[in-house]
Amino acid sequence: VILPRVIPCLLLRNTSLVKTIRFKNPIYVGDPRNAVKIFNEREVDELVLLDIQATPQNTAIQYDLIREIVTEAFMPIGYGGHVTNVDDARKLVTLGIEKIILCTAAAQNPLLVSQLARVIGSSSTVVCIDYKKNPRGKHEVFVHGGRKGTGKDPVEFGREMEKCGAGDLIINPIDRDGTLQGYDLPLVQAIAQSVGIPVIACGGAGKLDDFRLAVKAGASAAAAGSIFVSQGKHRAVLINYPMRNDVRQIFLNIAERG
Amino acid sequence: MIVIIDYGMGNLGSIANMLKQIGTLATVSGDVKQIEAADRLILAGVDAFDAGMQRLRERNLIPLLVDKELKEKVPFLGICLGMQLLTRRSEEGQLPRLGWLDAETVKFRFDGIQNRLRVPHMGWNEIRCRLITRCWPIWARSLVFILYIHIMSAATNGRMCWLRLIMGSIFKQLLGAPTF
Repeated sequence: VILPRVIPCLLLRNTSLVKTIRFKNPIYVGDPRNAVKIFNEREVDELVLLDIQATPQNTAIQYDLIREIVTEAFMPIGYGGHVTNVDDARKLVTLGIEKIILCTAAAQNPLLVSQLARVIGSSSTVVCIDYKKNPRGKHEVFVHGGRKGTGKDPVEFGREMEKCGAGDLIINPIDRDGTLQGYDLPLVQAIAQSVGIPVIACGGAGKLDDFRLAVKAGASAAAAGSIFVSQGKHRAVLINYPMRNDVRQIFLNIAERG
Repeated sequence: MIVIIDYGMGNLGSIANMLKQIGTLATVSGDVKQIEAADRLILAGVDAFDAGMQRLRERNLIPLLVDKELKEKVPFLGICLGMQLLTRRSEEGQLPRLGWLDAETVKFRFDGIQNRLRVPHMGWNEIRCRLITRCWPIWARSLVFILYIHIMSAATNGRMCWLRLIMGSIFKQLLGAPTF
């Protein structure tokens, strides 16, 4: 049995971790190095680290900070944020990043996905699909931190990315980010059914049972931000992660309860 | 002393961290003298196959590793790319491998299989150790890995290593054995 992964998705803004709601209003939730230490103790499967400012503000990749974070970590880390060429990706992999996450660059230059797959391998090449409903009521892939539309349909885009050699797709509905209302299950299902690579549901998880629903919809992994960095109605900052056995139990329930 | 071979590939610091966590000291080094003096070697890495072999070559580490393994027979742990480099051939690259494992690195094929697995997969998993007759010829070698897994497992409740079923990285004969 392959256990689904449960992945904290951490947002980096300058040198701090933040949490957003619908990609806006970032609030400070802590220091990335400290957060990693806590996640180490809880035997987290994997971490996703996204620098949410790097592409929109055209700033450089924070290699030194990333190195410090990676050195603390026991688990593989995927990094996204202004990776625009193979050299950036190589440099990140050399300093210990396990997976490179492309969002804006993948939509604007699908060739980069193919190049990365060839150079660092498909298993390290991840595409994050940020999308929301456009004014015509259709799902559309957005880039530059949700600021620019691309005219692309997320399901078709996912298929295109698989063909280019992506090894994982992160499905990230902008309008659910930080809302705790649950994953966009119909879209997770639609994409999972149309590709053969693992699909990571992200955006909207509000309770542990949401992970089960994502996996039931076809996701191989569930990523979440808010529930791992805050707690309670008032969203007090608290870096946390369920006990390993609780996670296991959630997925074992799939077999029993469906 | 355990030496984690530094050839410019991947997250070696995390392996050193993990060994420290279970109370074992290890050095991350690409220095010929330190590798020569090692009594245990770990070869890890993330990247494409040819890139890995190329880096070992550039650093003149291949003859040294061959000596350590084939003459001195020091215990040798290959992880991820490091394990793949020990095979004879890879479907994803052209350069010759170290070839100490009588195995090939091939892609998963799910043709005609229902419930196909989604690959690449990477994550913590429970492992079960089974002896598969089919892989007997390489068992002696793979035992090195398996023993390591068990030693590490004992210290960390069986969850030391993340199982890595990378596209194109699993040993045909090792299915069911340590495929990380």
